[in-house]
Amino acid sequence: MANVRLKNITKRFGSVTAVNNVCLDIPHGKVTALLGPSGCGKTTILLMLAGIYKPTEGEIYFDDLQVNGIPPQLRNVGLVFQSYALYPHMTAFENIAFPLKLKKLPKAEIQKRVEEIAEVVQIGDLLDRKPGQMSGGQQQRVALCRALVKKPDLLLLDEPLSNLDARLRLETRAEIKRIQQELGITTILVTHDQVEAVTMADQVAVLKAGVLQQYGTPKELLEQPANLFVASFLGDPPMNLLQGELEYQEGRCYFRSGRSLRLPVPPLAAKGLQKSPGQKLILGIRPEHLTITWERGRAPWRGKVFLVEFLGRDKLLDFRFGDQSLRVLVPATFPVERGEVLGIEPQVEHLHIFDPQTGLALTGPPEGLRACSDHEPA
Amino acid sequence: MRRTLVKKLIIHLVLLTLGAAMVLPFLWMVSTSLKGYHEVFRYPPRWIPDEPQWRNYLEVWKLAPFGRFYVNSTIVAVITTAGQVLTGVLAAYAFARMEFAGRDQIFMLFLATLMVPTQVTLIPTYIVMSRMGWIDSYKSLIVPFLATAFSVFLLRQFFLTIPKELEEASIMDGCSKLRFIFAVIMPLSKPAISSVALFGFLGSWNSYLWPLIVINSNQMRTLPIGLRYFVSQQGGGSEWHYLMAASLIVMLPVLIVFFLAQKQFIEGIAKSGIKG
Repeated sequence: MANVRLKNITKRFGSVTAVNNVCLDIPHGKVTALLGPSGCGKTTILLMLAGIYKPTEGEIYFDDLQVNGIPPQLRNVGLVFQSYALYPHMTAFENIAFPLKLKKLPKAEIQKRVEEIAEVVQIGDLLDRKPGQMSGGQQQRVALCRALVKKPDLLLLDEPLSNLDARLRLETRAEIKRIQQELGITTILVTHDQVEAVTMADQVAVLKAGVLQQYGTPKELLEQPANLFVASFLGDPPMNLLQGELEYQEGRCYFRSGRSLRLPVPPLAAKGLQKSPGQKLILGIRPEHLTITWERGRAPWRGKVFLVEFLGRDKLLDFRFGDQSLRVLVPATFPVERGEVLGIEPQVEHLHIFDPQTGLALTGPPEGLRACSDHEPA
Repeated sequence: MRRTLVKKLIIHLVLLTLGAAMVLPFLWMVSTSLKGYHEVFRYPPRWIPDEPQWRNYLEVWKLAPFGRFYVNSTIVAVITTAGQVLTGVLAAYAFARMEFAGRDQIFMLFLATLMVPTQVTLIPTYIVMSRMGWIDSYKSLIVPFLATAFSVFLLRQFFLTIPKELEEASIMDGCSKLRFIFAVIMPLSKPAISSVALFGFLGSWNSYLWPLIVINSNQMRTLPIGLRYFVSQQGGGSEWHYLMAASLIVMLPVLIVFFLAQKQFIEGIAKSGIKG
């Protein structure tokens, strides 16, 4: 087991900065996800942890050991590649046994350990097959075995579900989680899929263009996004973001957007804001935090249903205010027709307000896991 | 439906014609090798000899030390082939996967040697061999051919198609570079390696000019030179039936190897060409 600590890690490839001054404390025995769009530097971080890349600046610690100069084979890290990277000419058994063979372990010991791990991952019946004779999901399990058979302190997974079809993805997600918990191994996974990150990880680090945006538990990221990027990247369906400005009338605070949308801002949400009229703001609220009310008098917001999207379990109602749209999630059984005028009630505690210039959240800083202490947010 | 049929017919007709053009000289060779001395030049020529002279093949063995030539040719060809594969794999790996200053320039230079005709290097190489005191020995037949630009090029193109992750995975598994080359790269490159080996073997086996120059003693001769036994020294009537029989004996191992390995052979050339 190991606590992993990234201290001011920067990686440049020529003039391109792939990872920019990232600090992370990764607790042992947990699953941590590195989440971000492609090209955000998440895989680069993973390969630096594996030792395949060397950081340009900064230090990586496994517990108290600085590992920058330690070659990959001595780090005792297991890595599962996105493409699995199984040796095509070897059987599953030979693939899994390869790292042990290189350690010159006795044959009987190799046999024992391969069978042990094959049992945990449940691929005992596949050991004689070559990668070409296995499905993607089976190949992935073999790759997982190969990474785990060394009994690594740290397991790294690069986009573990991206090459699987939807059904298999669900199954594998649970399976990886089960294996991780069974072995209690510190796991870091890289993904671009927020659902994957939120469901599999105990904590998530959101990255964009090489810069760490926010680090916290899935709940914290969803409930208290630190900035617009995190707010819009996480959550499905995505958060409603409305551009507008503040307006004060008779001591009450309103959020005005264009000509047609004027929403009273609940006092609770307005509390943290500067009381400057005309201040440009972005208001964010998730579709599931808006409620439809029939009592029009009580409803703070009112709108006409522009579009009804059926999502299976839910319905997504699309209201239009000028050129801005507001989506509301309701149960699939909710009776609603296109063109109906309904009252909308926001759940005040879930309103987010962002500064359009900096993108930072203005409704109080999220509390939760911090990147390491000496990190200055950019 | 009909169109594709016509198209197929034309394609096969062309292929058959070309195939026949390739195979006819060979068949003529077989035919001649079974004729008697007087039958060879009979007019009009006949494909099937009146009485197949199988003993021609036995005579050939008696007339010249073919056994010795066979041994010489085999030793030279096998070592040359092995050398070409080994140096080819190592150099190709370096050019395909390792990063060092001037790599691509060196590779280009390497490729450029493909454009230098053999005749140009003949004399300089001879002088080198002579100064080393290697004339009339296996060394002079083997060493100059232990590395070729062609094998390096073919293997490099093939190695480039092997995913980089495999190497990274092997690093994670604690595999050294050399071990990776032998345990992963080489088994995966079987088609390319067999093409390189076959080309190397053929080149060495069929080599005529070079052995003629560097070999003086009868004992050290290789098969192609041995065939000269049946070419008349005076320039007059060669003993064609013996020459053809001997040539067939010389060709036999190559034919067998090609029949056994033709699938891999073609695959190797095709595959390394695709991503080239």
